[in-house]
Amino acid sequence: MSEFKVKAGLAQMLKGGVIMDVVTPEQAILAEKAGACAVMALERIPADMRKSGQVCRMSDPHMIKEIMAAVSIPVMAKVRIGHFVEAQILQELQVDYIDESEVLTPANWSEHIAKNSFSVPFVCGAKDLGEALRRINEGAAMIRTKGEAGTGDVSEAVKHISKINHQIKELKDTLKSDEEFEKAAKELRVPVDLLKTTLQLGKLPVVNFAAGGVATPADAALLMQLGCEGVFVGSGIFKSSNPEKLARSIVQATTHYDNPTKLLEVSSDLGDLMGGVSIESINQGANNGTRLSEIGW
Amino acid sequence: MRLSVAERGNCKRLAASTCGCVGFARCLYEYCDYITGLCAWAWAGSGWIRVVFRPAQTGWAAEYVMVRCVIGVLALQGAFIEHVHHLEQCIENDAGKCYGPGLEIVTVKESAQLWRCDALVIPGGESTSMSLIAQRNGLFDDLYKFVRDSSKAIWGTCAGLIFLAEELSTQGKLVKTLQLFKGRVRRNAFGRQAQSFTQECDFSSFIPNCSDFPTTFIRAPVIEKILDPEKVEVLYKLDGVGTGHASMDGLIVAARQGQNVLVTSFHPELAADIRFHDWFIKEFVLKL
Repeated sequence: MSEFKVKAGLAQMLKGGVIMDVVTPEQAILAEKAGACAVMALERIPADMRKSGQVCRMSDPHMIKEIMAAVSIPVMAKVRIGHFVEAQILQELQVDYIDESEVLTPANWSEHIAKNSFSVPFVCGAKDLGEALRRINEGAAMIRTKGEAGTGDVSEAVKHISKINHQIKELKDTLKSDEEFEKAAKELRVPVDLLKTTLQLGKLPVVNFAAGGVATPADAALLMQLGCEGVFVGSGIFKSSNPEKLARSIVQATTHYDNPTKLLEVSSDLGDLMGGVSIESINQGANNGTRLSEIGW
Repeated sequence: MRLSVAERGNCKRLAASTCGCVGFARCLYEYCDYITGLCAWAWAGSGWIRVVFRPAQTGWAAEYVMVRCVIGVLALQGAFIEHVHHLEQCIENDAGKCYGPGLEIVTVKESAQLWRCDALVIPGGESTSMSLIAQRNGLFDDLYKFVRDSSKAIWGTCAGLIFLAEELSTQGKLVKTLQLFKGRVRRNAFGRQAQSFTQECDFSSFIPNCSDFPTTFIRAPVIEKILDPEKVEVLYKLDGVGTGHASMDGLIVAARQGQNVLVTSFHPELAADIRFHDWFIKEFVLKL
C-alpha cells in the first residue's frame, strides 16, 4: 500500500503540468526550460510512427539514458502493451514512469502487463471508464485519456475525457443496490470496491492526464476545463515552427486554463502549428482502421 | 495588491445594496475590492469581508462573513489541491475551537490573490516548472517580496523547499529560487523515483504527541547545510540506522526559520493525517 502511495504520489506532483514527448537530449532540455514537469523519451514522435507503418517498440535504453542525464525533471518511457520484459528493462534503467502505450505496436493482444509486480510506476491509456479502472486494477498509478496520438486533432481526447466523466456521473446517479453495483462492476470487468471508490470520489482514484492530439494552448486549456489534471503533448510541439514558444505557451495555458485573459495572451503569434491529420480523414483514408486509440481494451 | 481601501461602512452597503440586480452590479463596481466568482471581497480595516451572492426570488441575496485570516496555496503546478483539502479538513475538525472563526483557504495563481493572504503554502511539484511559470506570469517578484514580509507565515514542501532555498547544491542553474530559507538544498537527493519511499517519523519533539507520522518522500530534496544557524532550527533528521537505510542517517528533512518559515522535504499533504497541517496553522499562521 505504501508502495502504491509512492507510485501515485509522483503523478500527484506532476498535476497541473505538461509532459512533453522528446526524441533527443536537446529537445528534453528545451522542454525542461519551457517548464515541462516531465518528459517522455521516445525514438520517434507519434506523428512519425503513424506515417512509418512499421513495428514500433521500446526506444533504445541508451538514448533514454542520455535524456535522463540531460534533465533534472522526471523521465518517462514507453513499452509495448503486454511487453513485460521491455518494462523490466526500463525498470532496471530506473526511468521514473513507464507508459504502457497503444502508440507502440502491442506485444500481447489479450493481456496487459501485471503492473502491481513492478516497483516503477505505470501510466496507461484509456478511452472509457471500464478501460481506466481495468488498468488501475492491474496496478497503473496514473491514467491518460488516449485521444488520437500523432494527429494534432483534439477531438478524440475530448471524446474520451467526456465519456469517462459522463459514465462516472451516470453510474453515480443510477447505482443504488448492491446487486446493481455488482452488475455494473461485472460489465466493466472491474472489482466492485474499485467502482464504489471511484463513484464516491466522483473521479478516477488516480491522477488523470489528457493526451493524444493536443497541439495548441487552447487545446490544453480545453482538456483542463473538462477535468483533466494535466496534459501530455506529443507531436504538437516539435512539429510546429517555433517549438520553444509553443511549449512555453502550452505550459502557461495549463496553469491558467480558466483565465481567458491569460489564454488570449499565450495563444497569439505562435507561428505555424502542427499541420496534423484530422480524425475524419483517417476514417476516410485507404488505411481505415489504423486508429491507435482502438488498440487496447 | 489591494485595489482600493473600502471602509467598513462600504461593506455594509455592499451587502445591503444587493436586493436587486441593479444593486448587485453597482456594488460590485463601487464598493468591493476584489471579486472571485460570485464572491466579492472588501477590506474592512482589520480583515477581509467576503460577501457571497446567490440568486434569490427577489433578485440577489448576499451573506457576508468576516475573514480574519487567509491561507493561500500556490497553485502554479503540482499537488496544491491536497494542501487545500488538508487545511480545510483542519478547519472543519477544529470547528472554531482553537483557531477561532474566519479562516479561509484560497489558491494563488496571480498577485492580487497573493496579497490577500496572511500565509502561503508552496506545494510539491516540479520546482523548475513552478519557478519558470512564476517568472513568466510576473508573479515571481511579488512572491519574492511576499515571503520576506515577516508577518506572513510561509511553508514549503518538497519543491516548495527548493523554491524557497537560498542556495542549491545541484542543478541550481535550472531553478531561480526565492532565496528566503538560509540553507543549501540538494535536489533529487535520494535519486530517481526508484528511490522514493515512505517512512514513519517521530515528530513529538516539535509536534505534541506526534510520534508516528507517515511521511512520503518523492524524488525528494534534503537540506545539505544550514547557512545561518542563528536563524534556522533543525526540526528533524532522518533516522537511517533505525530503519535500515544507513546512508540516509542524519539527513535534514525539516527545519524552521524564525517564527514564520517552515520547510519540509517530505509531503504531509499526501498522508491520511492532518496533524502536520494543524500544527502549521497553530504554530506559524495563528501563533497560538
